[in-house]
Amino acid sequence: MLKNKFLFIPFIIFFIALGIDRILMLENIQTYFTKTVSEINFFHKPYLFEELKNYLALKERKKVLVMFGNSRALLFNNKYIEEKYPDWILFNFSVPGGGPDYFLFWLEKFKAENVKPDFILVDSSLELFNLTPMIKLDESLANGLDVNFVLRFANRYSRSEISSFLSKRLFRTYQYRPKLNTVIQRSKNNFEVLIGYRAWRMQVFEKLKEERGSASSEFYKNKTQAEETILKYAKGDANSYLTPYNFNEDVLSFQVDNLKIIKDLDIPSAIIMVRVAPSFFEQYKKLTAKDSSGKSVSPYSIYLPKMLEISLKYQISFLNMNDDPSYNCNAFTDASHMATECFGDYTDYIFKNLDLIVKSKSSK
Amino acid sequence: MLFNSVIFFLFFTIVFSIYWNIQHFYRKYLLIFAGMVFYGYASLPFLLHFLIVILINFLFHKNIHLTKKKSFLGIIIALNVLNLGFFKYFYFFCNVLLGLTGSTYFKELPQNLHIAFPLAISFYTFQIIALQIDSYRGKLEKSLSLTDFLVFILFFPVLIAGPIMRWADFFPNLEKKEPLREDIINATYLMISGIIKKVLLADSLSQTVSPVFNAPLEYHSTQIILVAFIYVIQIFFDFSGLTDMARAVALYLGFNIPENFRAPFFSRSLSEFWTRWHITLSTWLRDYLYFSMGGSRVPRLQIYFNVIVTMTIGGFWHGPDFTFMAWGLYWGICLGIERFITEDLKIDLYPKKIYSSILSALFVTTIGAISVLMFRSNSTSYMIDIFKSMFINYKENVQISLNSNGGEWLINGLQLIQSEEPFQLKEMTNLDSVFLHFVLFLLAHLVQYKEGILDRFRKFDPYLVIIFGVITVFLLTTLSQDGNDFIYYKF
Repeated sequence: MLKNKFLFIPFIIFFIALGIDRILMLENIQTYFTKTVSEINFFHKPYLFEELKNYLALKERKKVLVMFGNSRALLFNNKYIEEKYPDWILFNFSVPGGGPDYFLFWLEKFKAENVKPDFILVDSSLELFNLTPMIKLDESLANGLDVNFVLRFANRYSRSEISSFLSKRLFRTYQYRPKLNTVIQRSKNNFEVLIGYRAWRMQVFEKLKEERGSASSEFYKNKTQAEETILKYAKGDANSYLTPYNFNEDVLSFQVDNLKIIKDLDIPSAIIMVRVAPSFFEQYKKLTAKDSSGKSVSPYSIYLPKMLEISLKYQISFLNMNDDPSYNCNAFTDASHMATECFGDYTDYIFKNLDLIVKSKSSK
Repeated sequence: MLFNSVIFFLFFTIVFSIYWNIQHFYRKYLLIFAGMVFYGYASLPFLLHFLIVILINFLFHKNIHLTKKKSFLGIIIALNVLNLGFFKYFYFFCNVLLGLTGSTYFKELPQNLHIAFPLAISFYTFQIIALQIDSYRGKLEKSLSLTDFLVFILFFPVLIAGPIMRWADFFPNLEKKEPLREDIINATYLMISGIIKKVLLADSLSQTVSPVFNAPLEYHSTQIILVAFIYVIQIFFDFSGLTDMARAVALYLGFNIPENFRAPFFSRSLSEFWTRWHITLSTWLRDYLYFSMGGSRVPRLQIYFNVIVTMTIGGFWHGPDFTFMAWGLYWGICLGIERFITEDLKIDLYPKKIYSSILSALFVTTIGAISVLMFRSNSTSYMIDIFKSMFINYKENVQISLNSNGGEWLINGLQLIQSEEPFQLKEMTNLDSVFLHFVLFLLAHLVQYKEGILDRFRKFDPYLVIIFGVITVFLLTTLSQDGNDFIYYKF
């Protein structure tokens, strides 16, 4: 090849394109066209991990709760926790679209560095166990996981997931597409929108640092929506995430690995199925799917026994907020996300159960 | 593995890097291995099946070459056709037999037997049959070694969707020992052209075309007619783009493989169209089917029969449905009529003046546009619906139909509650971007029609190819749609 330098032409094209991609994704340039801040949650997590390790090393410290969740677990209010549960501190590893693979990615690091918080809460969302949704969330794959992890578990991802992961990692502009319209909009009025957007991104990152991974409910307000609106969302979400429903055994394998690590580390823990709007929960039970024997059943009746089985096997409690009569807050901002006003009750629900689990563990 | 996927990019980067760094002797083995990886990526069991098919064909090839026995040729063609027929046409023939006999056996059999469709079986079957017939006809100087046989059939750039190669196209390339600068530059241009045609042009047209084809009864008749022409543009960009990519990949490895398209919609006659559209398939049909039936050296009436049968079989090769047969039959009849008028009646349908050339091209495109409606139909009833929609989807028709069926009350009721016309048919969206596609369609044809039209810019190749390459990568990452397969991959 060295003798025939023209053979490098395709490589030269590739590397120039890659270089331009990286330049475009510099913070000061990408803010001309990107429209989201959700990836900042992912970029913040390595800082959070360092902070957690340092905190756990302190001689005098509070008890540490680590939460692994998704957008349903982002809006915890640390002030509320500090006032009502002064013995505890929350480190929130939740990210938008976070699922068992992303949790495993961090739990492996916990294990490798013997990071042992006092309690771990692992989310289990029914939608994330669907192999064939109309809309597949790939944010954690695109932003959160590293190549080594994805290749190690390549057999648990579909080919299209791996292909999308590699494409989006190679070319960030494939994920965050530069649209001329957006650039023009951002440049108008002396770059007013651009300056505002940059400030917002900075603020989000600072807030995530300040709130240890939670997107403070003071900063984001999830307003309560009317029931009819939620009903519409529920039908839409059911179409997007639950139709057709085929249980994804590979996601279950990730979750099983999570529980194994937690068990090995001997940390009190629980799996939590976070409350969704009752109208959406109805869809869990109303829609039809085929179980392994080909019988028509609801997605919920496929999902629930599997969760109960792994919970029993690894002796880790399964907290089902949707089927728990003791939890009653039903204010939602959409079918899948609680409104800010419910996060107090949500926090209380967690700490009530956490207390019971810790007590029962220490009594054994 | 789609040519425009990142997985293929990684796979090919490895193959390309190794290929030009090893001795010429080992390159064939690398190509065989790469072909197996490429095919096995889709399905390992079918790779095994494919290898068995190749080995059986190799044994027959040796015998045919040595003995020139027609019976051996007949047996191996029958075996290949059976192999194709079993995997591709099993369910179709069960349905036909069910319709003919009414026996529940033909209803239950396909329900109890799940037959998957092996990747590329249509293309490799035709390529293998061509090789066997060429062997029999003595077109090969010597019989192929197993290595050459495997390299030829497993050559991954053309494995999935052609061009359908002949040994004579392939063999001279095997002798190339050193890469050529102009091959690499041409390959890069071809890849750029393929990506632009497929990812940026064909895929974006599907947003306009698919909604109409998904619900043809809801669209106005003029829209159905218009979508047929737009689909012509889409299918040209899609398949021509795929061919450009396949040729590019082959050329990166030093293989100059045949072109499949030469400005087909600039053709001045229907017969010329078939020398410019899917060239490797049409020449295959001509050389191995039409000529085998006697070609043009038979009585006039039989010539028409041969043309119609050849085109119908060519249509059926595309898929197990009456719609594809109808497509082939339609082309056969059109070609037959054209031949009758020009050869028997001696009427010059296509005088060679510029304005008449444009009219002829428009006529050919219209015949092509009608044919793609059959090509796109996924069932006979759908095909009938879409052709009916071309004539009856007018709002006045809906009203007339309701009136004649005692539905005046519905019309009156609807007129009471809404001021607008009560019956409205949908209209296509994104038509403004279709115009741009049309201009690029003409440009692509011009480049294919006037070979060498871009030669004056070739002195800047080293710079141009890199600049266009980088721009294309960016257009690809920023404008591509997700997940549109090539139309010809399903064949």
